[in-house]
Amino acid sequence: MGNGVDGLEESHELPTVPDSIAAARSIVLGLGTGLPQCVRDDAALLVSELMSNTVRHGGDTALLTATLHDGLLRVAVHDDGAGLPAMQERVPDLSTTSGRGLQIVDRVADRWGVELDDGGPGKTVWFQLDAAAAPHAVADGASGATHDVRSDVRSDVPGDETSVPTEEREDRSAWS
Amino acid sequence: MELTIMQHGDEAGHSTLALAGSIDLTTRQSLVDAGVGALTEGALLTLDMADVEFIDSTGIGSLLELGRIAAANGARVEISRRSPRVARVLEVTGLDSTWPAATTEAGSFTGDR
Repeated sequence: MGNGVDGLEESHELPTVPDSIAAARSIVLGLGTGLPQCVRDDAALLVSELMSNTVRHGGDTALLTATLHDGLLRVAVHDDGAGLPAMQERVPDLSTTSGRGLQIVDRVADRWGVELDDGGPGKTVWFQLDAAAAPHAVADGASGATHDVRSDVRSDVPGDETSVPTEEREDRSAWS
Repeated sequence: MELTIMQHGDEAGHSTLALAGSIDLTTRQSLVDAGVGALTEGALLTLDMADVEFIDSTGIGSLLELGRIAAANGARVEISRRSPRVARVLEVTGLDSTWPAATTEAGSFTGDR
């Protein structure tokens, strides 16, 4: 408990009903109590998007797995539904009241992706947030002006680790 | 977490809904219903979102739906105060320029060209 704790993991089976969306947020917020508030809030936003998609298009139950290791939060939602999330090429038209969920995931997550089950219709949608990479981790988070934490614009990777964006693209190319 | 909606019909033709709590798949319809009800009383609906602790893309969709319904009836919806989380999600979705803190004309988010 407290700051700097490594290796926390939560795994919960949730019914794909609307109430599970708030439940998933609570689980992720609870796991990330040692993280900066803005990272926790973004994690709650992202898991809400994943669970909303599962409730709409998934099977009967979802498996939520959240791990926190060394400031890196990884959250995955698995369901047995065949529907795949689709990333719209363009920003949704203003008359469109849906379709922004993955846009949010893509802009807020440091990394994200989809993994298809072997021999079944199910899939896992996951995202990562790195507390150390969040440019707003040291700000108060109120202005919302400098929140773009996409890994391909991240500039504070230390030393000579310049290959991270390549992995990101591989993650997406499997299904986008 | 639930969504609390308080309506203030402070002026003729202008209603304000003060929102507190979460706007997601569970609560979006109650917001749309309350907004549609308020719009029958006037041509301007103001949403005070200062106490909205959580909103996701589904919640954003309900705001856009209200705006579309308003525009179809010659009315408009504006957002007055907004919490940091509301500002954050509007920014991430690119709607902060479309829906600035000041009054937004209904036509600007109906998709009309």
